[in-house]
Amino acid sequence: MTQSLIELRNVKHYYNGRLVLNVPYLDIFSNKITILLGPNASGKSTLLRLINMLEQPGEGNIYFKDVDIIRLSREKRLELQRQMVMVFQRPVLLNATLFENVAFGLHLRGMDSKIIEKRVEEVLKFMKLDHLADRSATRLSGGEVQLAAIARGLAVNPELLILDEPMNNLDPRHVKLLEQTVLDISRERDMSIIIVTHQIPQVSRMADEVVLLEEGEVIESGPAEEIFNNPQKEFTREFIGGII
Amino acid sequence: MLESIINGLLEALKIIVTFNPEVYWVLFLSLFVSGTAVLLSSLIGIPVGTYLGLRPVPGFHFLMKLIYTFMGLPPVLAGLVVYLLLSRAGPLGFMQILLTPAAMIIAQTILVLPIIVGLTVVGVRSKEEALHSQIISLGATERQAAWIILKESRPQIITAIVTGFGRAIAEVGAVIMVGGNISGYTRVLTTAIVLETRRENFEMAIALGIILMALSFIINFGLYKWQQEAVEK
Repeated sequence: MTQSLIELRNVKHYYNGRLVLNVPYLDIFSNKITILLGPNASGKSTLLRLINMLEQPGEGNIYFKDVDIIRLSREKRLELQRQMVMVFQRPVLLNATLFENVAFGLHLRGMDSKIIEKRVEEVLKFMKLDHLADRSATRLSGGEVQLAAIARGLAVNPELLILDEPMNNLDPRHVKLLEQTVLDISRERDMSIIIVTHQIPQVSRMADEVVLLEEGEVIESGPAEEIFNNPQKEFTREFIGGII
Repeated sequence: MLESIINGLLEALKIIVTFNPEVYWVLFLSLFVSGTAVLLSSLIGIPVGTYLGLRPVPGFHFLMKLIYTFMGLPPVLAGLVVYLLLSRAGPLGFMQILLTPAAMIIAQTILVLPIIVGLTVVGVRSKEEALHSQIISLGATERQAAWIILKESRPQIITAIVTGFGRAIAEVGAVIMVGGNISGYTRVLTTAIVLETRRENFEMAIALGIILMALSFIINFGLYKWQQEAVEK
């Protein structure tokens, strides 16, 4: 049976008094690839920030593995936050080598240096970045930075990996590599993945679940196949048909 | 004029190779006064700038406007304020440090501190905006995030120190007012240049100017190397 990893209930969020997100009900499921779709400024990044506990919603509740993440002690909050990682639309690497960047999250968790070394090597190999391990992050290309940021997130082995428009800076070769990597991660590592993308063909290739947002509201959500084959709303039909 | 410049260059070389004690004292005092002012300003300004960069306090924007204004504080005004404070009738007159290197250090610290605070705030703030959410998302505590942002801001902080040093070493108005340009005691390179120009001893003035530029170049060379190491680490 499909289990909810994240549940949003009556969530409303405001910026400068303006309602930017209004989600009465939304479930994100475990071990699935969920793709968030929607036009620009539809609330996708805000939703991701709320799920990743980077912001608190103005109203409502968000549950991560049945725990309400809104009212938590600092320790509990950190414990839950360390089970998820978001890779940002414009990732920034630290002024260090690629290896050190990928090891960063592990150092934050105070892990043993031998374990860190082994884990980082494994992730770099998995992401086909091992030949760049000693290169300074300042000397990586845009695509390499994007892949490095994903590797940095993967290294901490999160239960939930959030990718905010990860293909933006990538050429077609890297897009293909990243798509395959995400599918492999999902299959081999039992990881739940949320991806924001604007590329409809990519959605059909990767998504298990789709959530379509517009003006801060969920227009439609459900299994990708259902959404694609039998969209219930006019907006969904137009959006996936590429009209909007 | 060209002849004066060439003679000034030769005079500068002569002063350097013959170890003219008077000029070397002026050189040492210039370094000591400006170096101490930059050190004091850094010790105060970097923590204050970092704090403001990480946690904008209420009235942050007004405070920044104030800091920017003080970054352009006219040296003679700083000199005047320090003079009034330290003069015998002033509130700090009991310290009896007017017309001493200590007064010159205070005046230069007042000039350099806003530069170091202001540029540190801007540097840390830009790193904070770019990095904070990403670091927290990777599992950092707020304390870990602050430390990493500070480390990542190192090149910007070094720029603040370089700019502050440039302001201090080239400054003349404040030090001449509160130091008095006393030979062998409070005379620094810039005030010596003023004096030699007034005496129409242009060759000596140019020689001192060349030494000042050379000194500034050597120090900035070192600071730039330090900054590049921070950038390329």
